Amino acid sequence: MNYFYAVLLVFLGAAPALYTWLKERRLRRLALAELELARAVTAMECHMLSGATSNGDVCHDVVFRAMVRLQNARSYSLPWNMLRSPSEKQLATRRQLEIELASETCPFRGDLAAFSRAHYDAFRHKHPFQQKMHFLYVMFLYVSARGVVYCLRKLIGLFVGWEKFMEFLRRQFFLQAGAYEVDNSGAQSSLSPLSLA
Amino acid sequence: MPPILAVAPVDSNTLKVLSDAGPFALGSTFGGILSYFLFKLASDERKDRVKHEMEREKELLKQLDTKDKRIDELHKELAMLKPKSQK
Repeated sequence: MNYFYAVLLVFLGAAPALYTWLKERRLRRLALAELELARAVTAMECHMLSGATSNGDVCHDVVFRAMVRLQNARSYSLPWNMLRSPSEKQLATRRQLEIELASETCPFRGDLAAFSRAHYDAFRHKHPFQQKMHFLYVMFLYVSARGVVYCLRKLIGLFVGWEKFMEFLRRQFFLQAGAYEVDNSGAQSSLSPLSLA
Repeated sequence: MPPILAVAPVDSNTLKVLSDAGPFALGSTFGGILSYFLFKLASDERKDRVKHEMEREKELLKQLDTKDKRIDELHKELAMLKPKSQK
């Protein structure tokens, strides 16, 4: 008991210093991540000056603008809406970016990767709690979502029986479809199985 | 008899008080020492942070310089593209 008391006192005595040290370490890491962001943007500026990417390219028109905006931001964020499908325009931009980055003469692939890493680090050190939540969310989506659905199915099966439940769903949807059915007594009626019989 | 008691003889009551206060004395002493070193570490971290921030400012200034150069080049290109009557 005395030993425990002594150890507790050591940590109690050092608690303010421990808190200060951890806080300063986090701020230093944030400053380092922001420095890396600035370095990547500077490297990109140099590539643009040398003519590696020009007006009309996705790297020039979209990516570089986004990089500058993120560099000057006061807070950082990551996408949470990963389940939403990208629009046609976004898909076209992505494809074009892939083509530009895949070319052998592209000199700034490493800078973009460094920027991406630094942005994640900046987010991690600026919003530690949010980052942990985001990490758990991503893990849930890509690792355990199927498992959770499986468990839910098993739970439903325990209570009502899976086949019964599916039958219930089928009946529900069938009834809904019947409610919205329109009786077209025109050209379509000749194609119905009733008219054939 | 331990030598310390030969130098400063104490009775059994005092020894009991000392043994009761032992964990507190030990904890506060080592806590204080640990705290000293942790504050030293925090001060080093602060210095490093200031260094990183200064480097970042230099990078931003470099970006501005590069941007100026790019604008100059664009102006030159525009001047080359313009017809002589507009120059």
